[in-house]
Amino acid sequence: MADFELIVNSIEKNHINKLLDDGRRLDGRTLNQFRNIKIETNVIDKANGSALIHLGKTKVLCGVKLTFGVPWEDAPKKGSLFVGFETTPMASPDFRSGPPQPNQIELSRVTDRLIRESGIIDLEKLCIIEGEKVWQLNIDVYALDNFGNLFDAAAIAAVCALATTSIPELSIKKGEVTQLETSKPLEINSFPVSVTTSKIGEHYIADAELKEEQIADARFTLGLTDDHIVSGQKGGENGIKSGKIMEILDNSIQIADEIRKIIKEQLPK
Amino acid sequence: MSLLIKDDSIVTPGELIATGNEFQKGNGVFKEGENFYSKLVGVVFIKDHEIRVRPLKGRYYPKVGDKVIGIIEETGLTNWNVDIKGPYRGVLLASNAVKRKFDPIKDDARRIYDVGDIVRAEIISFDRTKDPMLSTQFPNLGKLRGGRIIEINPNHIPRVIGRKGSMLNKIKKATDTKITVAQNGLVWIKGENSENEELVVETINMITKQAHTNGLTDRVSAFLSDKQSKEDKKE
Amino acid sequence: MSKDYVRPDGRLKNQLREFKVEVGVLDRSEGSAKVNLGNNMAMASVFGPREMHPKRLSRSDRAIVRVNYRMATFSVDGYKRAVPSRREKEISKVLSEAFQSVVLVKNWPRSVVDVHVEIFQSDGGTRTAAALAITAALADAGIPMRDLIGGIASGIYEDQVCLDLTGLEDMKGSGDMPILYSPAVDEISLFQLDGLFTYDQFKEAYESSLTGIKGMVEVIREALKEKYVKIREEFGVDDEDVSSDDDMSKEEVQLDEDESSDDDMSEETFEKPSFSAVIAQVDEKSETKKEKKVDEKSETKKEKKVDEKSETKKEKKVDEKPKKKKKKKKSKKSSTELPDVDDEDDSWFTKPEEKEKEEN
Repeated sequence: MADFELIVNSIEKNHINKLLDDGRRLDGRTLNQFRNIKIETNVIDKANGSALIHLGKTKVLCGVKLTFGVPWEDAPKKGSLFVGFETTPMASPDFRSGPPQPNQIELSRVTDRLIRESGIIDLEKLCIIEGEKVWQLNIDVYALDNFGNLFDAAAIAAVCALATTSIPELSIKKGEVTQLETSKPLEINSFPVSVTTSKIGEHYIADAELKEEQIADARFTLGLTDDHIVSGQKGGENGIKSGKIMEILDNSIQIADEIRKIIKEQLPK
Repeated sequence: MSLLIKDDSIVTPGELIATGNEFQKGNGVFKEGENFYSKLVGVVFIKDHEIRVRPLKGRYYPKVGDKVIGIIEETGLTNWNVDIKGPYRGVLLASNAVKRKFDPIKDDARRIYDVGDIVRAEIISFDRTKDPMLSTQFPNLGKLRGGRIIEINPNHIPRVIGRKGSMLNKIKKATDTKITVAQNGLVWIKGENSENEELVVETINMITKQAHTNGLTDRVSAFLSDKQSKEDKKE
Repeated sequence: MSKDYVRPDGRLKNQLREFKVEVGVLDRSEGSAKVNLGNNMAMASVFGPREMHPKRLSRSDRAIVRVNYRMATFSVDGYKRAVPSRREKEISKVLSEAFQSVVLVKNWPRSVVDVHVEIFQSDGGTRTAAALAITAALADAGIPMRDLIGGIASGIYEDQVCLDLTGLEDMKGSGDMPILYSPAVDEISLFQLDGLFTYDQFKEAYESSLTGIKGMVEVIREALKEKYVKIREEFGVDDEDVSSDDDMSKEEVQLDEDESSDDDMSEETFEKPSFSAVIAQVDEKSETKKEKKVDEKSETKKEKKVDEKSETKKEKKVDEKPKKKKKKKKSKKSSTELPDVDDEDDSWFTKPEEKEKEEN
């Protein structure tokens, strides 16, 4: 039992709450502070793009693969995009092998929303032969080590992998498509960032680490580009007072701007 | 008839440590024919011809008489399931929890211990066929209140205690805290303020990182007195 | 002539690819390792021993080693769907069986050792790369084993017996023989064959694989020790500097009782349950355990108003304890060390006489 559910004991809970009352957190961060972010790109040669992200001790790996696909009937000129998240058993004692658990599905869909709605990829640029052949972008994020906040880590990984993805060049002759040896960088048009705020009692903290996440009453994730809000998801078994939502948004926008800067600094120019 | 690996070396599973029937096998070692091999990544410890390998990592294996610190996971009508950090879940019966007779009709188990509570208990029975039974009836056992709790690898507990409690006492004196150490790797710390408690946590982390080295006691003393003088300077 | 045969990646017949192991790459799992074997990249994690779920799969006298082998979608030349394939399931099974044979499973009855290994990039011999990562991760986790396991997939490419095939050689070649072997116990724990081998080719592939594996196992050993050796070097281990207090390496430490910590247990430390059960206070001194128990016995008799039944129960428990402690003192085993399991060793079972006393 214990291995599958982390029950944060009462002493630790009290300790965390006491610190929060003083505006401090277990690892010394302030309420709105994100953990240290470390980014490594192009870690998987066989993938068209990849990124290994450390968000504190949380680690995720994203791989991007381009395959040939057929366009949707109602969008003959657009390529397609698929985003998945795998809660691999190595990341946490309560991730099990088998059919996707609800938390895996939620992580997949929320990350998908962020990437899709942000317009980071112009799907029309992925068209090869209109109505017949398009590029399909397969973006898969794997959890390696869960120390909390997989939502935001997944978003950073997906964006960094896309930002360093190369797309093979093609030659199209009389309807015949051949892949060439060369490739060019995939164009990205925006830089979405995900910020998750967790509610613990009366305190709202950003980037909850494992124990904080376990005792949180609720969480609120927002996906933000430079000028738009592109995705949102509330999670957890408790409610959030209506007045808090705009506060969380204001906070998240500020945090997202800082995170965006940090990420851009670590990406190859 | 030979010792192939020096005492105090670090060994890995399957490494041949010695051959010859004058040796005896101890914990962490298995014997095939006349050969003694290590079962684990650990430190070789030889005394009076007994060869042992002290593991550097590994989960807690219960032993009768051990004092453990556990987290209440589930409350039943007359018993609790306790997480004692290992593959075997501790079982605490109401009749072993408190001195007074427990009546399931009148008494509510949750009012004694509830999910998430931390208890210091003793293992009163355990064998390979059933889960360990706990008791909180004896003195100095029961629900812990306040302070901090940390978890370290149970294999490092002996080092944190030190010979006859020397290491632990050193830490307690230097930080003016109450500390109780459990065989299953949990350590409960209570000090006057959180800085002292944090210092204990730092010291224990230092010990666990260097548990396989010599001269640790001296380095810990130096570390603590260094912190002490920094505190004095502040005042 | 065949000695000078050069393979597509420039290697000779008997040359292994570059092999790197990193131990302890993840923090949440008990043990973990990352392996690079040529262009293969595998990562393994170990959780356990832990309670087996579902319970019906547990075995009463031993642990089960359960390996879950998966390949990431982007690990292959094309794209692999996330749903587990039959190949992945078969490999999971043979890997589980291989490690079941070297892990000392009887040390941890009724439990499971859950291993997850993910191939993040594949290029031939993925199950051997996986096995190398799993071995390192299990050892890192402190799981007791008889030996480490190494593995190589050799086979036939362009009629030459080649060691450690790449993906290309495996696909275009005419034979593939992955083997897992433990040099110290001299045992084959996994063997698979697929293709067209003559008798001589089989022998050559088999024998050169075993030789190659020996070298790989040494690499894993070094990687496992590396972290600890580095820390020792950092702090300059020197016997002469050891102070008289220094414990573990030179002296036995009595682990049975943390005597000093009992001083800290006071009224305020323990929360009284909300109905009137009282946890008695006894004045503890730093004495031997046996004497302490005797003190408790006499004081509890005096102080508490306990009804007959529980009092006799307590006495019995106290009576049993010194007996058990005597046994313990003889063997001087630390509770944190793994018990040894011999067929003749029956100290794991509560003796019938003791059991009767408890039941009375």
